[in-house]
Amino acid sequence: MLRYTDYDKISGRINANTSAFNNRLKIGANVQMTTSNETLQATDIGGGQTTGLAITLAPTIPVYAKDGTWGGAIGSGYSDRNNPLHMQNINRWDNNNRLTLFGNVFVEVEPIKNLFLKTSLGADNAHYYSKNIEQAFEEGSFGRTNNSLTIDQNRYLSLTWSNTIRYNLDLGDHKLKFLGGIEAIKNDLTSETAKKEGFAEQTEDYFVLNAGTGNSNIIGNASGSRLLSQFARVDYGFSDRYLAAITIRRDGSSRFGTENAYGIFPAASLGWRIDKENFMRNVKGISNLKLRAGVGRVGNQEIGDLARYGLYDTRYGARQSQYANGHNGFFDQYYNIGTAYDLNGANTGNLPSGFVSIQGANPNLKWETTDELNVGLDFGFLNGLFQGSFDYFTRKTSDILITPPIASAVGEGQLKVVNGATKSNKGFEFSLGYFAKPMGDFTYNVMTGVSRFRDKITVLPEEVRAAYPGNVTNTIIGHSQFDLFGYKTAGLFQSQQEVDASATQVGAGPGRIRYVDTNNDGVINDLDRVFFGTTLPAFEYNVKIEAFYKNWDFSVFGSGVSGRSGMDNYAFYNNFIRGRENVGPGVFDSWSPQNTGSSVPKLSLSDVNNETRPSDYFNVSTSYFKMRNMQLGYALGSDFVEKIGLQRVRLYLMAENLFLIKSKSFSGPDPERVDINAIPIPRTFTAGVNISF
Amino acid sequence: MNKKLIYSLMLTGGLLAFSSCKDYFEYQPKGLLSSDNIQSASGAESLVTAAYAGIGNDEMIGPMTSMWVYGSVRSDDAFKGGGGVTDVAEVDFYEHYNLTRADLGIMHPYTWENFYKAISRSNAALKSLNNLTEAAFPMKKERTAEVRFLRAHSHFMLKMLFKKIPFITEDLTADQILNTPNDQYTNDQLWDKIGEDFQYAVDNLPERQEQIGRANKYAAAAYLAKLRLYQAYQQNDQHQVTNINKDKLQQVVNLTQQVINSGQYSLQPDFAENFIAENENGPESIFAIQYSINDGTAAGRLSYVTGLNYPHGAPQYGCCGFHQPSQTLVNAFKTGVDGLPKFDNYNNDNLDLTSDSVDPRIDHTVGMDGHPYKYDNTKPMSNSWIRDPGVYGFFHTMKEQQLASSASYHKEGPFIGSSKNIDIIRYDDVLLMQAEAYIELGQPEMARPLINQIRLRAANSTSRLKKSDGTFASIYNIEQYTSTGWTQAFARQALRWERRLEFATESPRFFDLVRWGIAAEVLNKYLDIEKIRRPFLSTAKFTAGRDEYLPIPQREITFTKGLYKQNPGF
Repeated sequence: MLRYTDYDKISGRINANTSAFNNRLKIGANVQMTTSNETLQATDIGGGQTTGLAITLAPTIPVYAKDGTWGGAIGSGYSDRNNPLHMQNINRWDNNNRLTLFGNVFVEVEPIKNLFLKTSLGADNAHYYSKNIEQAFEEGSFGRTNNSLTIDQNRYLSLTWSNTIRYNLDLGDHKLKFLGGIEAIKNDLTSETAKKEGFAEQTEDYFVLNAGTGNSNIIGNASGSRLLSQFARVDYGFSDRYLAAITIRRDGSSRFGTENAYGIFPAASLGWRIDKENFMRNVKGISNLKLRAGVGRVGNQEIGDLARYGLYDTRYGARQSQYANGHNGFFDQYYNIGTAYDLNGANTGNLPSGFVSIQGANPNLKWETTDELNVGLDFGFLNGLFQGSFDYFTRKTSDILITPPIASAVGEGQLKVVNGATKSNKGFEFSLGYFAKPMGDFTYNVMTGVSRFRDKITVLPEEVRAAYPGNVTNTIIGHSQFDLFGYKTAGLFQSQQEVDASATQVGAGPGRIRYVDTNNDGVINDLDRVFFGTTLPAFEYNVKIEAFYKNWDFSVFGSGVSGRSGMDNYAFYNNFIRGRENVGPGVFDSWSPQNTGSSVPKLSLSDVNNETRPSDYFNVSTSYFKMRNMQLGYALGSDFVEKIGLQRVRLYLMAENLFLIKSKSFSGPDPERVDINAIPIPRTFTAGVNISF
Repeated sequence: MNKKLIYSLMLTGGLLAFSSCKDYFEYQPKGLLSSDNIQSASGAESLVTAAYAGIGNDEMIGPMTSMWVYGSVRSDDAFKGGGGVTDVAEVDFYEHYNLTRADLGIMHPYTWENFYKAISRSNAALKSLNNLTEAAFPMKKERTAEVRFLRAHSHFMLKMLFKKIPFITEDLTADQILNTPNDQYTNDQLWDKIGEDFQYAVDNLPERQEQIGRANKYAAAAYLAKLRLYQAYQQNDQHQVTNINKDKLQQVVNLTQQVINSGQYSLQPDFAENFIAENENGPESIFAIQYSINDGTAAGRLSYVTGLNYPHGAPQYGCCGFHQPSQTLVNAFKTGVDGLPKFDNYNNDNLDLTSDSVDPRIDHTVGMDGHPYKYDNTKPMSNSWIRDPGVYGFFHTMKEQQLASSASYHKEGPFIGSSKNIDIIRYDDVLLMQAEAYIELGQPEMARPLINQIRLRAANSTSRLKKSDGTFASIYNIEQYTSTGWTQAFARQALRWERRLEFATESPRFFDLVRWGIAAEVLNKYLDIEKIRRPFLSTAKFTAGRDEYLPIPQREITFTKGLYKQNPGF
């Protein structure tokens, strides 16, 4: 989609298994290798992404100058953004290489019948190597004078050693399987970044660290984690009608303090083949009926490897852009956060340095847990003419791991990971298929699915309140994490009298958006923010239709969401003059004393009324239906195919992302991808041949 | 045989895994320290160094050192500049006063955050120092005094900007800090709390520091004088000055006299030397934030706080044209035939450089078409350097910029960094603080030589201002004040004018106006005239009782669940 972006991938896999002593000993090994190279979308000097710039840049900026060199903005009235095609071009040598080696060896013995002992050692070795070349350039009145090369690499090694013992017990109608085991996982990650400036030549081959003559900078880190688990499982089956399983795991993680390293995670499931019961034998209409139920607890430890520690770091001359939790990705490059200081007033040379807190300690950190209950029914009627399933689930997640923001007065590097809120989730999934009986050479199937879920924050300790939407008076308790929070609007002010009669609002004026004084205190401020909608859809659904006639096959697949609302980011660009950027056609209908019916605010160079604040002004229907795949195929006659030594030859035409249906109120192209920086999903047409040997 | 081997392997494997599980989880941080590691003399020393770094860990979108956004743009000195009003619109909102909101996303919330980061570094160092004996760390007392000086500096800056702030000391736990309100103390008490740290520094710091980047006794005395001067003008809750405290003024006189008597400081021979990187840490600099280049960091520990403020159209700079002087400021440099400011009618018409005489400091402060820019007459300022003259006019600031050829200069991406120190207190400020205290104490005659000292130096600061043809671009005429007519009222006017010109665009102006209690009066009068020249100001208005201070950042109020009280009017 984007010029100069690229992706290629090569993977290979070898499996080797052997057995001896009448299958009592099995030895196996497998190795898998994947390597990929990727050149990503470029950003300009200010960090603006090409896709976003394509929307926001003023269309009067030329791509090329008259002399054929790259064009750019000249003169006042333009932002300091760069020509995105030029940026794609000068970043074309950037590359991210990933090399993954994944391997596993195992030995399994069966010393007595039905007793299996297995040991397995696995390794996952991933190497990442990224080359980022920042060329010096000029375009219009902008440019970069100093070029640089940054090599960023890291190595990840994960070793997994597991030992299991299995025993299968067959007592006629009663079948039992026992499993016990231990597993140890050791993860280590090291990373280094080296940057060099000052390259005399700008050719791909010359950008090697040694060739640079300017400033150099090297940083590197190491971290890791350990997991140790014990587990046991019993499977029980009774005459194929009842299936039951009980699992218990005890997982320990080095990410939590020794007191809380272990979590215990039990689970149980039950299956009942109702259709196999004697009393169902005579019910002709029902061809399949299975009830499933499960209950269990799972743990989550997805936090930083060192989350529990209070940590100090030497950050000699660091800038915020080198670390997470910055203020603004672009300005963070100019934000000193270092610990070195020129106490000698020498102005150059090595500086005395210190260290600084980078993380608050939380020795009580523990596993986040989710308790889940689900009930499901698989069914089939009329000899399989109708088939489907229904699942209902409820989940409760407790002690949710999060790093909440904290009042600045607490100081630098005091953020810490804590166990906080509790969330409940409920939902269902329903699928139904109709598999029509063949009518001569013609047959068809229709498969549909629909699902829905709702979540709710039920417990919110004060410590984590600020991590969620809310203000001093409204918290997220009772709301979904997907709920929208912000200001409510009541149209546009039509006159100064209306402005004067309304609550005090900074930047108010005729033609400006009127915000609602939800707490009736006479002032529009933070306390007026409320929850006003949700981005959760009422339903998600999909439908697939397949039809076959002789050698022809045809299928369509589409899916969508309904009853969903969300922020229309494109309305910013469509309805507002944004300083020195491009504007959309929405501004032609902007409010004026002569055009009072419009919902587009009065034209204004500066957003003094803060109209881009999160509010229901931008909340529109983001429901959609997408025709994702449509295919027509024709299989060549089997006689002919066999004659030329093949099994099957099928010719097909395929259209992907053929069309979508969305609400007119959403002004962007695709409600599924509301971010303006997302690379659009292409509509593709494919003509192809499938050949089987 | 094979089988046995495998059994025994599995058995030992299982045993290993079980027996070592306690150690197995002891994954120790790599390349990082825990709080236990820093409880030593060298640890304390390192934390002190980090505390110094903290007061210079500035951010373009959350300034701590140069207050150009809050002090110069918010005063009658200068405009935001840049590419129109929407370019970093938050600064435009401050410039309009009435568009300032507590929930702005950048600038004042980050300034607040950055100063509290600096305070936490000081407190971390103090905690470590408190746990050491003098025997374990002979420098304990001096270092403690330095760190308290640094902490007082951050609290002072916060108080000057926000008025109501939580006062954070090293004895508070994180939970106690979260329960520390911003209105725990009265306005006067809060000055005293901050003053205690400065007083400790005055009492315990050496007169000289071998490492000149460290604070010494006189830096602390000068800063305490500054604090007492602010404290002397007692404010009520509507920010009106209700009384001028004579006792505090006398302390200003005494403290500044200590600095003067030390003999360690003097005015630079040429005013220019305060603004040239190569002359930093000179005799006029009493305390400065140190920056450095070629220092083992990626591009230097540079100051980027004014990184947007270089002339946009100048090929040697290229970005971004922020911070442009107002016409009113330019007119304020006019002098009469007597060589004194034209106090009453200076702003009636615009400065005409062909006929009006000026104070020479204008050519140290304001870049103008055809005048040497930054003392380089080979590359004079040109109107073509201005980014958006239709909005902001043709003047550009000059004090905070460095020549592109300076060793201190570094362009990084579009923006410009410099290793030039940022002075927090200079000797000229000390002289003028003493003069102000004398005037308000009713001893204007004591102030006159102090002011004249400043004017004499200004008069002698023309050697770098010549054009390439050897002539001056402006007609300079500056004289000292005589005793004739030197009443308290006239002296007050003269002092205020002197501060205005001496520190023009350096940012004290706004805070001076608030301290004197005349911000609303002066700034609305300025807007009435300037908005005719610069229509972008047409809706700007200063509201007394509100716009003297920045709003407490909304997110801090949210984080503390309303514990912090917002300033009036926001």
